Amino acid sequence: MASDARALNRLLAVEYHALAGYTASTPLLDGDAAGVARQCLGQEVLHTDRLISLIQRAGGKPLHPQASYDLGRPQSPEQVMRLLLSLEQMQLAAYANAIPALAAGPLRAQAASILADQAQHAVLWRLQLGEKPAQSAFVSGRG
Amino acid sequence: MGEGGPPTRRALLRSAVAGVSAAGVSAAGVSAAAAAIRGPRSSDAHTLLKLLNVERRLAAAYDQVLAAGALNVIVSAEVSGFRDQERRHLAALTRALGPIAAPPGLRTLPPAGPAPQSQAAALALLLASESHAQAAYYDAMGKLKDPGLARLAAEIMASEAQHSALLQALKNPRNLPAATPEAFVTGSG
Repeated sequence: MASDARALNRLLAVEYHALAGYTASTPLLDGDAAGVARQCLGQEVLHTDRLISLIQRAGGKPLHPQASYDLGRPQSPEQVMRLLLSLEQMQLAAYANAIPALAAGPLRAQAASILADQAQHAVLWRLQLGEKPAQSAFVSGRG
Repeated sequence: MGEGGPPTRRALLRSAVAGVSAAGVSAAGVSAAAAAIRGPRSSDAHTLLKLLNVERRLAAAYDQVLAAGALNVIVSAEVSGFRDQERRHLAALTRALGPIAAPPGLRTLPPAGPAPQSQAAALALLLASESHAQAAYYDAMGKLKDPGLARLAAEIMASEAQHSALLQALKNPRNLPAATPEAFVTGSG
């Protein structure tokens, strides 16, 4: 249980980082990109809430977000979208690494369901950026 | 190995895993090989066999859709790419199961229903198939014991989720947020 709480807190840390990125970036986008960003932001909030609940159930204490996050200084909508894609890649890698470390059972299933959603976010950003969207048959944030 | 008798199952497992480790196989590969060696009654082997059958059905759905010729050129090219990835999923699960996978390991199944006659029907068929696969993987994620197999299944489940999102985007390119409708992807059986 303690190791699960630690693994889940590592995931919570990357979710906070992504939340900060989406919160800062969404107002800088318009059109389809803004719609995608709002959808993803809403889902990142739900992921964060779920992780906090799971950490508490595992007997752990959820981390607090940092006071600030280094998001670079994107100067164009394309750079903003690249930032959001990089945050999704970071989350993909974190979840893919966390899953084998979690206890076998429902926690792994929950983490996998979030990993799958992050994977969907990533392909939508690649679509917006005109890149090949589904680049790998095995999604781990490395591609 | 004990004297005067056949090697115990535990000894066989130890030497097999050691051999695979010596060959420089990754942790996921060692774990997968160990799962296969435990035999068809092991729960992980049983779970992987179910996933293998799901992937076979999914690959068959993609083959059927592409053969039906109802997709335009651009959509067909995208869908071909997804089909190729499904074949890689099949191959990975077949490798993980080792001798337990029913030969030939990459065998797909015959189509489950009539060929789709329109692009909309074709995309609907693939979306339903992908959702079924995601449900199977979500169920498997709660059951797999081996960490390496759990990681493999999670990476494939995420790939299926990506296919769903992109199929949805192909179906309705003006509503991209609808391509990721759920914060927690669990599919539907």
